[in-house]
Amino acid sequence: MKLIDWILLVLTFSSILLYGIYKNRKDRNIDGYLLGNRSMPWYHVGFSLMATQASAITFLSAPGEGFANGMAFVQFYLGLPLAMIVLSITFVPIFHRLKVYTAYEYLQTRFDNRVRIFTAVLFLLSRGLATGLAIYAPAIIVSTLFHWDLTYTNILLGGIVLLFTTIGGTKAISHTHFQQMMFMTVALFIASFFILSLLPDDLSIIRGLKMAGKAGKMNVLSLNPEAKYNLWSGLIGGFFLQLSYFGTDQSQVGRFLTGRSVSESRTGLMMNGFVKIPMQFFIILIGVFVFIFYLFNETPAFHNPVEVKKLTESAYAQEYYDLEARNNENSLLKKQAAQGLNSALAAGNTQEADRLAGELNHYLERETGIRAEVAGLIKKNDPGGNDKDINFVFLSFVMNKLPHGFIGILIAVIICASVGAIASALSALAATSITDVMKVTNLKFKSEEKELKMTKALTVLWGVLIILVAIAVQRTGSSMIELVNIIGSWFYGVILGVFIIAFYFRRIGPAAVFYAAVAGQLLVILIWYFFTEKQNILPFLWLNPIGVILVIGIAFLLQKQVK
Amino acid sequence: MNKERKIQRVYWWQIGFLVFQIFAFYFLTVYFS
Repeated sequence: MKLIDWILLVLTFSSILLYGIYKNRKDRNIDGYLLGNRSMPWYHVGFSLMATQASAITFLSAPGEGFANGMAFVQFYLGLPLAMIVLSITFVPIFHRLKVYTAYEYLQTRFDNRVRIFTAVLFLLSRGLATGLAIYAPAIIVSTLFHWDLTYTNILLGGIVLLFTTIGGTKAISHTHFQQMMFMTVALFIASFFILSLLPDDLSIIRGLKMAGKAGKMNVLSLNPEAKYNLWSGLIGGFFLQLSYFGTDQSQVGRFLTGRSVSESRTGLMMNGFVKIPMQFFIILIGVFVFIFYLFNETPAFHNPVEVKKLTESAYAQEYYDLEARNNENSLLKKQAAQGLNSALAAGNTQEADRLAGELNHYLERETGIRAEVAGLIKKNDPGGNDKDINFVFLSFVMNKLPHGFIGILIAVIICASVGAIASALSALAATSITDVMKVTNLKFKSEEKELKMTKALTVLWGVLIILVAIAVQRTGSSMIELVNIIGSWFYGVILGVFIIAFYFRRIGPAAVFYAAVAGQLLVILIWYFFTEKQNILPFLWLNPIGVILVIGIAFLLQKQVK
Repeated sequence: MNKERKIQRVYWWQIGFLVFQIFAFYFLTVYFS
């Protein structure tokens, strides 16, 4: 980072946040603080929905996924457009008509307090955990940049978001989301342009992608139901996950409730449905471009510079340098094979291309082996060290290979993305705690001003809790985008099941739903533990439809018993 | 055309675009493998 990067980083970051706060300077009531007075046009709703889902995790982890495992992850989003349609038809008109602040408010009208509080608490649990992870992602960037302690960085970043959310409220969040998505799209286009310009002159994009395909990175669509991401789990499991995320997770419901009218909210959802898959495709593709770049260039033995520095200062320094030397030697051989493959593909020599692709894959496997050995050393040196580097691939590439000035802007945009997503979550956590838990348990506020003060105090309380979660999960290190979705999959199916009963099974009453939700939740966690975690035979996306089916099935049986 | 009809049209476009993307992804997978 040079001075110019710092200046542009601070300018970009502060101008996006201050603009949001400036836009919301007049809101003094609770409706304004939580729902922006329900005054937003459709494109603000759309951008806000996208920005809430796209935290820094998206921009760090998704290219990392592309680099390490190829395009397969894009299938995760296939169910999203269908979910948007179902939401527009069912959820939006009901929520708008009842003028609810939160999704769970509706459950009380349909069932009773118990159901409302139980689903609200499930939401608070899942969103609280996931938001902790969402703070951790940008904290990694900042701590890597400044060489700061990760714990202090978590606290600092959490503090900035907290300040922004309590001062600005929802309208500020919404305006910031709009700016942020604009900046982000432009920044990512420029980044991919730079990456492509770094590729060898005699390599066309198509041929580069063909080479990535030979290394198994262009696995965009898989029909094999046993693959981790495939068409079926993406369409069905993804549909249920996205439906419950957008329909029952207050951080998203809070976004489309800001819409001026039913049709503005609907159009915003449709916009999200059209743009999401291409956007995600493009972000993962950037990771594949980085992979192609490293075919022709020296690849770091390990992508997390902080852990590497720790190793070089430890008793294992010599062992690390030996591995690094082996890796550099392997990089050279890999480059030769890649150059050969490029020429063979250009000449249309299929036999030679297949032979060289085999050779290239051999060197790539060796590279993975060396990386695993470095990871082993990291753990040996410090059992609490972070031995996964997937989230650092894109970051270290940006820092080392992209031009100065642009680095500053890109980093500001990535951190801003996080602030935007976390701000939505914080506002939702506070709104749900107050309207669905505190007020339902007979708490009365003397005036609206008191209620607004309490909401702000709760925002602060949740902010502090989330920072604590971020510090606690600091050392998990696995792919964060996956971890967030696994946590979501524990709870979403059950919550969605409750809402589906509310909308479509008019005969099922409150007691049956309540006990079915409790039993369903326990069963989903057990199924996850035995079949996903222990035996590894059930991809986690399936937990979403399983949760829905369990809740509906159990509620149905219980209701029959009552009769 | 009223708003309801208009949004229903958008739903069909959404489904059509999804099907198109699935075919496009299939094509990309086969072409680049």
